[in-house]
Amino acid sequence: MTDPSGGYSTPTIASLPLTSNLVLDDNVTSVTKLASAVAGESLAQILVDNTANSSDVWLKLYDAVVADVTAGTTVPVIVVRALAGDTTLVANPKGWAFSTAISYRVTDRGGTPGTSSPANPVSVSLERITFA
Amino acid sequence: MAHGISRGPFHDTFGTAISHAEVSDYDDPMLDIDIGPTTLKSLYCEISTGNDVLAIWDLKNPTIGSDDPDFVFPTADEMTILWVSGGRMKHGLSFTVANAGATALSGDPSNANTLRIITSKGGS
Repeated sequence: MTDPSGGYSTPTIASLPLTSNLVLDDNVTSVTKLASAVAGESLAQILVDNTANSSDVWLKLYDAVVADVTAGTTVPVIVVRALAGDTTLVANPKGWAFSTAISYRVTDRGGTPGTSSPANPVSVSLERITFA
Repeated sequence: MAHGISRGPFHDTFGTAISHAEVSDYDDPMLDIDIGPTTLKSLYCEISTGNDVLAIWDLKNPTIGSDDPDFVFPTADEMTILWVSGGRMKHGLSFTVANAGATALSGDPSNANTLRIITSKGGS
């Protein structure tokens, strides 16, 4: 937008990125769930609440629908650890882009492996970001 | 492969200790940016090409291909990650950039990258 008095540009509200909650799930286990089947989503914030467990857990995010995820074999796009009895919150203002879909699960190992659920369910929140 | 690694503690405007590492032509990755327990607060990296992954271990000198990384993120040309909470590293802090695969980390990055990582850290 051009300021008629000064001639400089200022951002409009419509041009600002918007964040919104995509997933708020307090019963996450090693069973894969679908966060979004929409192609081209981006996540700006990932929260893993592991306060209910006495062991570390790892959230795995996949760029795929549930049917295309094999637990322990399919390579996750993002892995986020939450320490025992703790909460992890990571943010990326530019967003992590997913091309196909977003699926998620938690397990007892980092990286690609891991098929076991934690002793108690974990809470997960995923915030999407949309760029104008 | 030899890298041009520079590192050294300095302070940001908030007075928080920062460890800094910069690697040029980064195509044979492994970088211990810190040793011992620490708390990762933020990470900034520039990678000259995409289609790679950034893996982070709560370990000193992890073995690529067998040690499961604790954090994995797809790389972008420029990326800042903030650990609002949960960045406590019990054993150490190591990074690598590889072509693909969260545990397998199958091979070197797709191209020689310039990787610049700055981590601000709190106490253990």
